[in-house]
Amino acid sequence: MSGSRTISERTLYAISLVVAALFLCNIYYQLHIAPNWQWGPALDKMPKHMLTDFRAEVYENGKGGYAAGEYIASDAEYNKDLFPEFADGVNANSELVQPLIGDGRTVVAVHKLTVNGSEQTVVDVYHIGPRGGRIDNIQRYIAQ
Amino acid sequence: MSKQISYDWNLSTIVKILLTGGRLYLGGWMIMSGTSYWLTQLGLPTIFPQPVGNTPLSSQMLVTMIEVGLFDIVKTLEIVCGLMLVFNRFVPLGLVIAMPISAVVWYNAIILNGRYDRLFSPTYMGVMCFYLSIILMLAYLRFYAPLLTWKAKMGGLGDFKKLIEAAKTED
Repeated sequence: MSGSRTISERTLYAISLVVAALFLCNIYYQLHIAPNWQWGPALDKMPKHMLTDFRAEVYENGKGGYAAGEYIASDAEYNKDLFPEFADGVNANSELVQPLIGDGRTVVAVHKLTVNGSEQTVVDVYHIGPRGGRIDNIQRYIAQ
Repeated sequence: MSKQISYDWNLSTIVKILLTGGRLYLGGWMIMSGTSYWLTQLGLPTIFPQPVGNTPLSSQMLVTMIEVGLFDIVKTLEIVCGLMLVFNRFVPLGLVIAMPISAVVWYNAIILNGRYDRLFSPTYMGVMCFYLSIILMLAYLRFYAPLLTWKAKMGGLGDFKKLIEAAKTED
């Protein structure tokens, strides 16, 4: 095509805003819908914030089973035998020896854990998956 | 009566259309990214979970930036420059704001997360936002050229008038 044409500035601006709206819809789709997020209470929180909420469910609300289902990835690596409190209705109490220690997506909890009357000092090292994800690895070290 | 713009269908026009598309997409992406963060901060349903990195170094940087409050500034600036780009207002300034943000996004995506395989992926905004910022700044180069003044003299208080004059100028 050749030859000089004209278009009003206002029309051009309106077209650009329509294109921008279409782009916004596309970006929203790519970020919100296409990834098929498994939304839940664990997502979109900072690691220490997420761990604080997780610990509250397990040790304050006695909802260890619920918390494990919502906050821990289904393919997470951890020894379930070491975590009897990750079941609903278990009488577990935890008192942090020091505030949670965070390093990127790794959070460490040093706490006095009492499960069914037995107290131990344990160090739990939680690793959280990418993109505000769920816990994907837990290592528990029990003080002698 | 709106001002009439004359154009020819040639390479220059096509390049301008593509650059305008880039400006609008970069602006839209900035608005979406900034808005998603603030929705989370306000306790509202978010657009996407805030990424906190795939490697220890990336996670350290992002989590620290969020925890010390620097992300509040970054995400606010993303929305501000996004609006500037989408509505075609103060675009050279919007690009100056977008450039350092885009550069850090690129550094995080490529250097810290090691995604060298996506270095030139056209669908990966982790790198494309930086390239778009550079290309668009080149398109608006005449606004930045005075920054390269070899020996610059200080101005006076009267220069503040130039800010108002520039804000009223359509160029």
